[in-house]
Amino acid sequence: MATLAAVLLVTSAARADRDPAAAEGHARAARTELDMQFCRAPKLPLGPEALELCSVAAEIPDCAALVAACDAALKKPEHDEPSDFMKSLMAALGLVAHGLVYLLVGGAVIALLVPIVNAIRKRRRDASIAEKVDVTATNTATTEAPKEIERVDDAEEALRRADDLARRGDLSRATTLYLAASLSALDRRGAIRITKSRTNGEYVRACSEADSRPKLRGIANEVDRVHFGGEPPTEERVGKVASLAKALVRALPLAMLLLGLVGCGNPGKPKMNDPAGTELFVETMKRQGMPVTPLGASLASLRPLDDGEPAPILVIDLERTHLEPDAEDKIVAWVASGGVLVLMGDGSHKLSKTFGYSSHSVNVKEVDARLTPLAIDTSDDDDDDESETLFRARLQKSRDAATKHFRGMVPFPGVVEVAGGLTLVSAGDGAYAIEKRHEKGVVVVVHDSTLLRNAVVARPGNAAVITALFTELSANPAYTGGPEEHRTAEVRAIKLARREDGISPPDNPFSALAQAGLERGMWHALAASLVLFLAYGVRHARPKPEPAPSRRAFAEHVLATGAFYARSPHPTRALASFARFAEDRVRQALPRGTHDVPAFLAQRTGRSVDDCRTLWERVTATTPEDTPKGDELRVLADLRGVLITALRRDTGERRLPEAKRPPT
Amino acid sequence: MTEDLQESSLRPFIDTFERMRARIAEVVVGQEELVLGLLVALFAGGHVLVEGVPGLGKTLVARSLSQVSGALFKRIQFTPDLMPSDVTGSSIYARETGSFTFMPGPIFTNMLLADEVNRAPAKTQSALLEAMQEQQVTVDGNSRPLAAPFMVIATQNPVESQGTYPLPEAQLDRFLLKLTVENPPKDIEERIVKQHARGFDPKDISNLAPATTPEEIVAMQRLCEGVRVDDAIVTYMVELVRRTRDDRAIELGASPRASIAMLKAARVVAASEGRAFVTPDDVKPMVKPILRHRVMLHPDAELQGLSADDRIDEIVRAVPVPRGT
Repeated sequence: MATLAAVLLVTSAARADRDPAAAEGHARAARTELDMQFCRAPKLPLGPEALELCSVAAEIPDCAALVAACDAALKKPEHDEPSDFMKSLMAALGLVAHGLVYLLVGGAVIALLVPIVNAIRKRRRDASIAEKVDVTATNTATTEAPKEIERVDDAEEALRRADDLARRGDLSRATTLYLAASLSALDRRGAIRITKSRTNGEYVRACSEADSRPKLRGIANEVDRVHFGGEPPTEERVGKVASLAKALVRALPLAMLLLGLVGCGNPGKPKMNDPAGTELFVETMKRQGMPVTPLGASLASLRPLDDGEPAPILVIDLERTHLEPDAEDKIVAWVASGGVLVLMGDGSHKLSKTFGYSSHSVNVKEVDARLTPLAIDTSDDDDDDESETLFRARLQKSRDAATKHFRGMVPFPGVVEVAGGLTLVSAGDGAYAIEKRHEKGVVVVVHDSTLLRNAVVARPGNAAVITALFTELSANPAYTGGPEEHRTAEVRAIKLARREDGISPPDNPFSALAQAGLERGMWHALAASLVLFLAYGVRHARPKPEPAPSRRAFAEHVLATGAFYARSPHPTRALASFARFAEDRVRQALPRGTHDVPAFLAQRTGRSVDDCRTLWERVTATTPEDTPKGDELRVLADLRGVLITALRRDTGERRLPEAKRPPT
Repeated sequence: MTEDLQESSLRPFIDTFERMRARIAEVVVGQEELVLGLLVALFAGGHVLVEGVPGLGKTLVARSLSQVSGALFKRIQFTPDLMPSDVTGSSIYARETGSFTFMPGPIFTNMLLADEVNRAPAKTQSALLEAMQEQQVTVDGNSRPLAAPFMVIATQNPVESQGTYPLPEAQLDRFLLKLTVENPPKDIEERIVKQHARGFDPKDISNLAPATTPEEIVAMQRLCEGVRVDDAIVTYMVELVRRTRDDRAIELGASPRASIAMLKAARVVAASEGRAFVTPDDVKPMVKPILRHRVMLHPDAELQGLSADDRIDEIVRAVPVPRGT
């Protein structure tokens, strides 16, 4: 019993901020300080929700403009039917808009495919480079390739890793990662191309972004200093590298953000001129020490609370937030695990019914929010022999005596009913807002959501009502047991679901487009993109001719001869071709004034002059039109051997290809 | 010394290096790579083989270098009848004293221009071997040290094979760098002609003021030896050289002397940039000048029209650059 009393005794300081009596002043101050214009210059034309609030407009002080707007709107005749011309114009504009949406979707898909194509091309290019390496480097112990630079794909992730390493004191690896992140970002933007054989200096010189070059140079110099200069990295220097790397990596996103801001224009100060808005409610609650924040996620992604996890107050405006079945299921599970759910408006909603609520309208517009005090004076309760029943009766009496009432007016009176519920706000003899436990959690259903609207909160008395309601909820924890046993002074977070939060998040971009009603357009754009992709891919996949070697005719000649050598059906042509090439090469190597090729070959190869002469005469006499004798391939092989031997010994000739004759 | 070298102590080196380069540029138009290569070789204590057709200013560059370095300069025109003693010097009988007196040859200098070195037979070319490697000359059993610094700048014409004697591999290996000189682009050639039109006489460069002294050059050489070379850089250089031995298109790869040459040259390049440590950026530009004369292409590769530079480029592309841990 003493424990019970102790639980009930909570310091009044803890609730100092939550004082419904001060809510009126807070609301008035918020309107003035934030220059809320829903009364002085309401957003015109008034929307359907705003029009519904016109019944309270006259009761709001300094709200003549809203009253006038309401009068004008309610008196305004229905719009005339648009003319046929306007109808056809609208239809045409609709078609244009439809086409633009197709273009937009197509553009988005292409934008998605371009990086994929680039990645495929990069992979192929890298593979071809790797093949070249394999061909040229045989039997070589490969140097340990630097892993960090080439493997970094996500510059932001690399920055995070680098920051983490820097925090842990691994400054050396952190500098490398900062460089890697910078190079990766530049590579992605096309400013450089990362290859294993490029030095840091080459990256700097090759960087096509002039603004990024000094930053990259700064980073590269520091990395070189650490890794090759043997200088231990200091936190100051690593910090400098980090700032340079971050500036490099985030240069484009920042620029895009700025561009976006400039492109969107200066949004300016919000006017808060919608009478049906919720700004005044949010601001009043904030000044009451109970900040209201947007949920920020889909209700379909709510997960059940863990044991002991603080349960926020989740407010759903059923008139604005359309709930999908998946979201409803998640909400029910969340409440069951200990959440505090406030459903405002549409008491006949399926979700309200799930929790056993029903509602109907009444004529009483006055509502009365009651606030049970957390602290009840039980100081005279020193009789330990008092029975439980007597104590509870005395406690209830004290509570009834101390409970405060806050009265207001709502535009749409109605009552909510549920078995075993506790009335929080009453309307006449019924309950305007009623609370009921659902497993570990609490569900509160409010007959309508007008208490959230600017115009209603601004009405004298209503700010206190809504504040009292949430103060009561905040003090009433969501777990089993008698409500008086666990009341708390903790401030709960209040989350307000937005219009779009009732929709399940799309699984992928395509389902998002489908949800947006662009399914057909998406398929059309996808088909068009596929055609473009295939056209692009086929064009690039087509084998390209090898780049011309420096001595094209010569190399082609040798290649052609080699092909004939292998399996030519015209061996005389092969032999004649190779003979012409051999003669050309040998004559280049002949000493000046010498013309006897067989003697030269004999001297160079060590074979007899007669052998060489026979061979030489045989090959030089061959013409492509000759009838094959059957020995052509053998003669060709013989000639090739003689040629290689003769030219190998001619060391001066060996170096000739390196030199370039000056132009004449 | 390696650990102690500070970048601030490289300041005099950079000043001297840049001053020499600027002075040479007063008379030599273009040919920046050739000038840079010669300066690198000078401070690395190496020798240079310059290959290019006649008329590209090879001799002028060499003479300008010796002039700005304040060093003794001698030139030998290599010819087929040149004898080793014409290079090294010989002992001559002096009738008055009745004894042999050593008459030093032109090799006793700081800078020796061996013009058209491939026109002399191998015997004469070999007279340079000991001088280039050991910086001394042995005549009649007596070894005589050469002056410091000592640098051989040899030139050869790539297009003439008639009456020439290609340098043997052992001789080639002793050159730190082989620099190739190309024809200048049009604008540079126009500037050269205009320079001559203004009365420039390439034979008289005596008004070119020295930018340093031989003693200072020797001190700078020592300073460069203190430039730090990380193990990763050493591995990179060795890998580059080793790959020339495993390349199928190369019949004879570079020797470990090439790796050492790379180390020396990279140190000078790093110092000229004001850095007390070598980075891969210092190594890469020196790879071709260091390796191109040290590799012998396979005849089949030559038949395909490949050159040593092509293969070296491929090797450089294939070897990953070290980036630290």
